Amino acid sequence: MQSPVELSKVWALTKRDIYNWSTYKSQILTTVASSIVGIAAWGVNADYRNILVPEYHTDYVSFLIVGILVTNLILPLGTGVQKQLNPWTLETILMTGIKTPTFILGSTLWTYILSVILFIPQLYLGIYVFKAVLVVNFISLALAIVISGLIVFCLAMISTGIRIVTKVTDPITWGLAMAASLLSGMTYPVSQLNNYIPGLSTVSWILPQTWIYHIVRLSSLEAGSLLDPGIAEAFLATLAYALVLIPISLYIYRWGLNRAKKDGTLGWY
Amino acid sequence: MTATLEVPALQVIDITKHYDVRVRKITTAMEFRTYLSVLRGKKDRQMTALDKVNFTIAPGKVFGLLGPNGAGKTTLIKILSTLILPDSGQALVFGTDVVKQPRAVLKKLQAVLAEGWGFERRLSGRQNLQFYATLYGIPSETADRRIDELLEFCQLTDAADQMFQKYSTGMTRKLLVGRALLTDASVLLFDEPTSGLDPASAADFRGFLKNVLVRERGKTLIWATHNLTEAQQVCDTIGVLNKGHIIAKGTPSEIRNAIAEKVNMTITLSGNGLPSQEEGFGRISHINGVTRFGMKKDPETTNIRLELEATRDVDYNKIFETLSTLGLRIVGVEASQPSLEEAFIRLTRGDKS
Repeated sequence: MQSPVELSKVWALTKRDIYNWSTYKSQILTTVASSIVGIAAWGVNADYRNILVPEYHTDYVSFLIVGILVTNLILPLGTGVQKQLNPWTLETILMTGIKTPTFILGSTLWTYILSVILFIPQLYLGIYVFKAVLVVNFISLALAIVISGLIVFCLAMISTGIRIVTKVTDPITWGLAMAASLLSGMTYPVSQLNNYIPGLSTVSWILPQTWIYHIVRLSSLEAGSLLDPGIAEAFLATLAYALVLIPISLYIYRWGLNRAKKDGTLGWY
Repeated sequence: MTATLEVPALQVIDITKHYDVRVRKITTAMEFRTYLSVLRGKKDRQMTALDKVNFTIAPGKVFGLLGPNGAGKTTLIKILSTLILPDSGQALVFGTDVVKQPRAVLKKLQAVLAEGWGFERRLSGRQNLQFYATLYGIPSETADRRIDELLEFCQLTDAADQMFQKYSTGMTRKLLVGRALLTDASVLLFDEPTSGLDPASAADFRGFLKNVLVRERGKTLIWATHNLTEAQQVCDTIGVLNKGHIIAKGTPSEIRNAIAEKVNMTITLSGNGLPSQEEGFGRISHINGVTRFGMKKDPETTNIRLELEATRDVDYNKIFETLSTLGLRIVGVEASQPSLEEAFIRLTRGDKS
């Protein structure tokens, strides 16, 4: 991207979303309230059945709180673009000649900023009310967030490419989200899955979300250092995932856009 | 001596577009299969939206794309706007290919589409223009100055800071023009630009586009419409599009004449009574090209009205000479040609007579 022109475009899209969001006052209240109530409900649940989680050398409250925070902080990126992909403005926005990464980034940034804003009270609740113990390596955590963001950004591109063709729902992203909710280990370690179907935890490592939860937990629950070969290996595996996803996501987005242009359905809903 | 060849504003060369038509019966149980069929591109049949469409427009002219609903006008407009890909053929905007260099084309051409205005309802008119100006990559200082000019130009200064959702249809149309002019594109496409406007606003809007955009600013316009009065008033040339084919091209009068294989004439004569059947009717009927005629006396005056239908190549001198030899003096001649509306109906129904 050529900054700062491209950055100003990203900011224009973000400002539009902020303005739209902030003009619906009841939406602001309900979003903030749901996020706090959500983390409180999970926290009470985790506190009630607090056990040790040996995989990350921590207790269940800390394990779960980090899982929920990742879900609320990073994963909304994938849905952000879907919310903004509206057929009434898509054609006119594309007629400006905007570049794909600019469009996707601009359409997801507000969702991300909102997640960060909501993350702060959630983090406060997790640490001070539910006594989550975070042992953070900030360098590893920063890298984990960057790699995770890249993966989710790619998933958003894939989702957008497919949704331009299928319109209201994107079955592939839906399928990935469903699989992730069961297999990626948001609320339990993936090894737990083997108690039900032997070997199922191996399948869970195919999902990018599993890797995202894993590296964020490694860096925030046991201060995982990148100098530790075991930790570095997990980061490299996640990074490889991201690098593979970049060309695939670009290809799928362009495929979707060309397909809709060929079918003449770009402005359809 | 060397001749300078002017690059056409727009060249459309053999553009063809077919659409796959899918007949879907969507039920909950079939939803997944429907997704698969969409992704696999399964189709039931094809319909031709455009079939080898050709035309060229010189810079600074207004080209009317005239056609009934479903003729292919919007498809063509969207192909030129890079929103739909043609199956074959080529379209060049000042020599730049719409398929190969879409971004470069969008700097020279902008469209005002009939549906999907693309404005954010919660933003004001000015904020919407600022939003698009940024996406077009216009530096903010230039954009602010241009937006002020455009709001004034479009007579929207007073409403500039109102939320877009409070805009009337007429204001929306003007804001659309404002957005299309943000980039100062040389070619502007309008798809049904006056639909939804009351007659007075539509007339103002037509005047604004023709006088200001074309005459003062030298823009090239494509005006897709099925409003024939509008096409006749505004367009330099017209292409009649029907079922994906350009079936007639030319100035509005050329289109009318093309369909007018026969001319209707009323000649008012003064003289001493009607000529006899043999003298009058007989001699006129022998003139080449006369296909039908009748004479009647005006009850209020002594004049005679000769109503005559003839082919376009009829020898008018012969008619006048004959009438003169009958001792009749010509006091008035009216020739009626088919209106553009009549020509349009005949063309689109395939009726040439």
